[in-house]
Amino acid sequence: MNRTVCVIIPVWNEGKVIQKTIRDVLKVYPFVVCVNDGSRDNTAAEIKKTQAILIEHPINMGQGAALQTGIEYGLQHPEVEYFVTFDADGQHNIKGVQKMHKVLVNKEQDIALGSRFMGSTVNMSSFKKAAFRFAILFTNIFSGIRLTDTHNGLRMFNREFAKNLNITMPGMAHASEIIDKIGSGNWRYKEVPVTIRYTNYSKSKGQSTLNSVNVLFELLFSRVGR
Amino acid sequence: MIIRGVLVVCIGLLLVWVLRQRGSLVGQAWGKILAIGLLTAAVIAVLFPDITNMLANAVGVGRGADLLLYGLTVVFLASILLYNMRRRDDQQKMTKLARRLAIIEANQQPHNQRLSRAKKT
Repeated sequence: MNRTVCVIIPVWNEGKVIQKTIRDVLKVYPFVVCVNDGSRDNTAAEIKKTQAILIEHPINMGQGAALQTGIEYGLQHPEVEYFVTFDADGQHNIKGVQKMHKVLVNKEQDIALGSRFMGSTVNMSSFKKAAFRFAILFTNIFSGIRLTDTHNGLRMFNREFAKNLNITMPGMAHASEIIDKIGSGNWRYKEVPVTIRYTNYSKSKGQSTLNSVNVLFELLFSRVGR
Repeated sequence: MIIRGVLVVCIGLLLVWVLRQRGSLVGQAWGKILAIGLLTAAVIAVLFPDITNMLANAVGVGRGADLLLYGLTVVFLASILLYNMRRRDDQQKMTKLARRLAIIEANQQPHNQRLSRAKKT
C-alpha cells in the first residue's frame, strides 16, 4: 500500500541534511522523488547515495516548479495513487504523512493539509507567528476556504487532484495557488495536525526576517493577473 | 477639471484592456493601431505646437507640455505593466521547457531506471 504513495522532495542546496531526510522517509515509503532545483552544493551527489529517484532541473525555477516536476514524473507511473509534498530540510516528520495517509485511504477526502497550529510548534519565533497569522488571514479571505495553516509544505493529495493541479506561480506563491485550486473546484480537504521542527539548521537556512517581506509581497501581488 | 476624470478613466481602461488582450491577435492589432496613432499625434504635436496648448486648455490643463507629460506617464506605466506580464509569460514557457528536459533526462538515468523497476515489484 505504501508503494502507491509518491513522496516529492524539492531540494535546493540542502547537501548537509538531505541524506538524513530521504532515509527517514524511505523507512516508510519506498517511492521518493527528489527534484534538485539547480543546487550549487553537493546535493545531487548526496541524493545519488540513497534509494531516492533524482530529477535535476537544468536551471533554478523555485520550489513550486520543483513540486510540479515531481508530480508530472509521478503521474507517469500508473500505480501511484497519492502524492506527498515534503520539505528537504528536516522540518517535516514522516509520522504526519502516515496520519494523512490514513485520512485519504478512506476515499472521503481528496487532499490532506498539514497544520502546525493544530499540532505543536517547536521553537517558533513570535515574529514568524505574527507574519503567519497575517498570511493565513489574507489567504483565507481570498481563497474562500478556511484553514488554520495556509503555508505548510506538508500535504498529501490523490491522483485526481494531482492531475488537475498545475502549479505555475514562481517562487513561494505556489502555496496559495494550491489553496486557490482547492477552493475553486469541488475538492474535499481536511487539515491534519503535524509537528514542525525548527532546528538551528532550519532556522539559519529558513526565511530571514527581511525575506518575510518578499514572501508577503509575492503573496499579495501573485493574485494580480491570474 | 476634466483632465483628472479623463486620466483616471484612461488608466483604468488600459489596465483592463492590457490584462485581457495580451497575446491575442485582436490585442496585437489594436496595439499596432495605438502605436501608429501615438506616433502620428507626436509628429503633429511637433509640427503644430499650438495644438497641444489648445487641447490642454480644453481639458483644463495649463500648458500643452503638461498634457504631454500626463499622456507620457500613462503610456509609460502601461508599458511597464505589459513588459512585466510578457516576462512572466516567457518565464512560464522556459519552465515548461526545462521541466520536459529534466524528466526526459531523469527517465534515462540508470540510477533512476533501476529504482523504478525495483519499486514496481
